[in-house]
Formats: sequence, C-alpha cells, structure tokens
Amino acid sequence: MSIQLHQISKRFGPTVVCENVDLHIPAGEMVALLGPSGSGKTTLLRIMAGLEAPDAGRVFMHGEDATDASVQERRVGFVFQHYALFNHLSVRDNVAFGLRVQPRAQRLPEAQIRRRVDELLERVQLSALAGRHPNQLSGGQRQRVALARALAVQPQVLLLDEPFGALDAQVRKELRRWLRRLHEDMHVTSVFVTHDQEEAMEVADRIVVMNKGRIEQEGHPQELYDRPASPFVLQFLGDAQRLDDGGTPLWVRSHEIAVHPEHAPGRLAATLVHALCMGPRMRLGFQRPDGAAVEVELTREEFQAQPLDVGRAYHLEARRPARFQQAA
Amino acid sequence: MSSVLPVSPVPLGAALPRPAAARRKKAQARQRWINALLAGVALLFLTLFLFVPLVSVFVQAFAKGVDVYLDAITHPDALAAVKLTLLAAVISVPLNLVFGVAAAWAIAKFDFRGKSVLITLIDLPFSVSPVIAGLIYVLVFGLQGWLGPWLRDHDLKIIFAVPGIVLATVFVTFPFVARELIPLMQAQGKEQEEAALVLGASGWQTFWHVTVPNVKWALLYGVILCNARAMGEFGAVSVVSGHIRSQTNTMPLHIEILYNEYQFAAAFAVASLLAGLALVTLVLKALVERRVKAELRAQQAAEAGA
Repeated sequence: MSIQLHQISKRFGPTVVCENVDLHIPAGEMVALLGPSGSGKTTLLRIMAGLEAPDAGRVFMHGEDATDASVQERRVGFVFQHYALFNHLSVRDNVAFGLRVQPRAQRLPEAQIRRRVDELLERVQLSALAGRHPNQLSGGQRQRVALARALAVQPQVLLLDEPFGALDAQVRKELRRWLRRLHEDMHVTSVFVTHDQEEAMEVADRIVVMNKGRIEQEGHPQELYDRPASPFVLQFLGDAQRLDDGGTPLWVRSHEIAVHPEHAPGRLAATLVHALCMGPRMRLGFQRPDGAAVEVELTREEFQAQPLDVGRAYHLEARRPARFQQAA
Repeated sequence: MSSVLPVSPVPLGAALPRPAAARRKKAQARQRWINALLAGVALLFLTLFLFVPLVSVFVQAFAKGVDVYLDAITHPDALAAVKLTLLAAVISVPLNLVFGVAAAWAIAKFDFRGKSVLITLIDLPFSVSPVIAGLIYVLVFGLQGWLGPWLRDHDLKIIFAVPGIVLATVFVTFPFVARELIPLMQAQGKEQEEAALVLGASGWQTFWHVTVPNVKWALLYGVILCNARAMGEFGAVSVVSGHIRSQTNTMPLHIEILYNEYQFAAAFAVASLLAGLALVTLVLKALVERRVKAELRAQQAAEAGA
C-alpha cells in the first residue's frame, strides 16, 4: 500500500516541527527518513500512524484520504525504539495481542491465532523463547518480538521509529541485515526513521533526508551519496570536509583528499596535527593556516606508502570537490 | 667484606604494615558501633511509641476478662458502629479506586490545561486538617449551609446521617490511590498504550489489558492504605456525624463515647478490633510493597534497555 503525505505541517507550541512536507512512498518499498534530532522525522512517522494529527495537510493511504481515520482504522504496524512490549504478557501473548483484541466478528479462532503466532516466532527465530516475559530477554530479542507483534496483524504498512537505536553496535548491525532480508521476503511497504546514515544506506531502497522540518533531498542511496543537492546532505551522508580557498566553500569527502608534500596550483596548505589508526584506515587531522580543521582518511596502505610526520606542513588536493550555489 | 645491605624487617610479600591495618580495623569497629546505636535508638522509639501502645490496647481490652470483652464487641451499639464503618469503607474505597485510577491516568498519559490544578486538588485532603474537611461538608450540606434549605425541602439528610459520613470518608481517603499510581504511570509513559492502539485495541481494551495490569501492585497498595484510613478516620467523621448512638457512629466514634463514659475496658475492646485491622494492614502492606518496588524497578530497567 502506498503512502502519500501532502503539505503536512505540525508544530508543538512555538516550535515548527514539520513544514509543508510532501512525500510519496510507493507500495512495497523500504524508505528511510534520515536526519538529525529535531528534524521532524519521528513526528512525520507518527502522523502516518495516526498517533499525531497534523495541523495542516492530508495523509493518503492507498490513494484514499486517511487523515481523519483513527489509529486502529489505519492498519499500520509500528515498532518503537524502546520496544513498548507488554511486560506482563509472555512473548507469545505479546505477539498474539493484535489478533486477540479484534472484535468478535472478525476475530480468528484461537487455534488459527496460535498457528500464526508460531509461524511468526519461527520467522524471527524466537520459538524457543515463546514462554518468556520481556524482562527475561535481551534488547535484540525484544525488538524481534516487537517486530513479530507488529507483523501479526498483517499490516499494509510497517513503520519503525529508530528500531535499533537502543541496541549495541554489533546487535544493531545484525538486526539491520535481518530486517533487510525480512523486507525482501515480505515486501511490506516500510518506513523507518534513523539518524544513522550507514543504516539508511544499508537497509533502504530510498532515503529521504530531512532537516529542520523540511525534506532536503530524496532518492536512491547511491544518488544521494554521489549527487548531494546541498552541503547538509553531503555532510550527513559521509564525512564531508569544508575547504575555504577564497571562493565559495569547497566540499569534499575525507577519503577523497590526497596529501602531497609539495605545493602545486589548486592545493591547500595544512599542518598535520594528529594521525589516528582506525583499524583498516588512518584518520589524519590537519590544521589550515586560518585555524580550520580538516580531516583526511587514508587507507593503511596509502599511509604506509607515504608516511607522514606530525607537525609538518603538507598540501591537500581535493579529488572530487563539490561547490554549492548557496553559501553553506 | 661483610654485607652491609640493610635487611627489611618485614618480608616483601607480607600484609600492610601494622599501624595502618590496626587503624582500619578500629574504623570498622567504630562504624559497627554507630550502626548498632542508630538501630537501637530507632528500636527504642518504635517500642515506646508503637509497641507499647499497641500491646496496652490488648492488655486493657482483656483487663476485666474475656466475658466483658465479648459483651463489649457484641453490644448492639458496637455492632452498629462496626457495620457503619464497614459501609463507609465499602463505598469510599471503590469510589476512590475509580477516581484515583482515572485521575492518575489523565495526569500521566495526557497533557491538558488545568493539569497542575488537578494535581494540587488531589493533595488537598492531605494538607487540610480532617476537622476542617468535616466542617466543609457541614457548611455546604448542613441546615444552615448552602444546600441546606434545598435538602430539607426534599427531605434529604446528609449531615448527621450516613451519607455525610460516607462523603467525609471519601474526601479524606481521596489521595491514596492517585498518589501511588501517578509516579508509576508517569514513569511508564504512553508507549505501551500507543502500541496497543496501533495493534487495533480500543481505548477500553487498552485500559484493561495494558494500563491496569502494569500498575496492579501499586493499585493494591493504594487500596490497602485507602481502606486503613477509611476505617480509622476520626476527625472529619466526628464533625459530620452528630454522634447519634447506633445510627451515626463509626467504630472510632463509638470508642470515644465509651471512653468518655468511663467504660474503659469496653472502649479498649472495640479499639482492639481497629488495632487488629492495623496489624493486618501492616502485614499486607509489607507484602505488597516489595512487589510495588519490583514493578517500578522493572520499568526503570526497561527504559535503560537490555
């Protein structure tokens, strides 16, 4: 089912959280709402779910105006950052909850409910823990229960609010991949909110970058990375460094800067301040004459081929620079 | 040449030099004495102000023998007082249960204008003297009160009758359930309720299957406290009651009457019933308190993530 947001605006008190947002999410796609805190992405997600009402604008689901539809009528699945599992119910009862609260007329027979719950627990690989309670599970397990619970009622749309934000880095990576595979299996229209660009790029078909209540750019991950429409998007997707050479600011990614010992036209002078080993890469901190800091990333091989000394002056060349019309 | 290397008096692998170890032991012993002293003071205080009075209630109750005791508690006036006390509790506790849950739910899960006013109002019965509480009802419902003439015209008696007693009891026990629930519900937030709504549950289903089970122990605790106060309330009920023997006397009032008539053994006999209730309340409270703390701790652990 597709979702369409038309001119959505929302404010909380004096703060404008969303401003005239237009967004179209095609059926079956996994879309990431990416942006820093306060960019309005969670609010937008909650407006889609019906948990918040927009001050202006309309929400369309599958072509129909759903703006005034209640939360229950929208038939969406929602996964919360802190799981929101029902603490007093077992895993099995949590997953079955949505099926058991349906009105008698539409409710499935108990045997069928049980079967569907077992299938879902199988899919999220938690069958062995079906009898446990949420406080006996790890964070990653809880989030999988939350996902199974949301999917149990066969929603047309799945909304995830920073689903892996509360988990360890390792668990986050595993669940990310797992979510991607789940989506490829089930193809439910999904929207997830994140501030982690790596997550967005790995999981989503399309990314929508938001900033201060507005959409900065949307498109496929590759497109956003290679052709950012603004410094904000460039900075958000990858370590962008700003270099001032007198004209409009030059933007270049950390790993697309070459370090030369000698000067040449177009190269900028900087002193090496520190060199950190970050596993397979080296992160070098330079300082320009005007005091600005520039970070350069080199592979270990590159660094070993041309070792650099802290305190010496070098000349930086931007390999794929970008300049933007507006001042950054 | 003989060796002039100094030899250490203590082998290298030994424990701390003796002065430091002795100092540490002394500090530990002193700490133990202080703990014992504090515990002793607390115990002495409890003994004087709690144990002794409690025990003396029972001692005085049986001072004239078991027969007098049984006569006192089966006397018609006493039985009427017990019945009235139970009636007041049976009405005010469920009422305050409903009020308390509704108020706590509104305060914890919603934002609305007048929220802080509501919170202040909930605490009002605690800050007001029970006698004033009773007086409020006399001023409103009494013959000279605002609604007095209207009530007299419709032949309704509130003051100096059972309804007044129930109202006064409801007032003084109002905060107990709400105050237990509000912090817990605030800590729990709205997420579980939102999750239930998104899954298709109606507001009522969400309330019954998500909100209430999450606070069941705190609710029980509030009910226990509410009940204890409802049965033991004296000041507010005394003002509105009129002290009409066998009609508008609760147990605390009946005890006062017996005592004023110098029927000490009988007074203490009835008082022993209330003392017994107090003991039962304390035990139940202790049992439930552990669960309440666990409930709050579980919520905080859930927030911290696993």
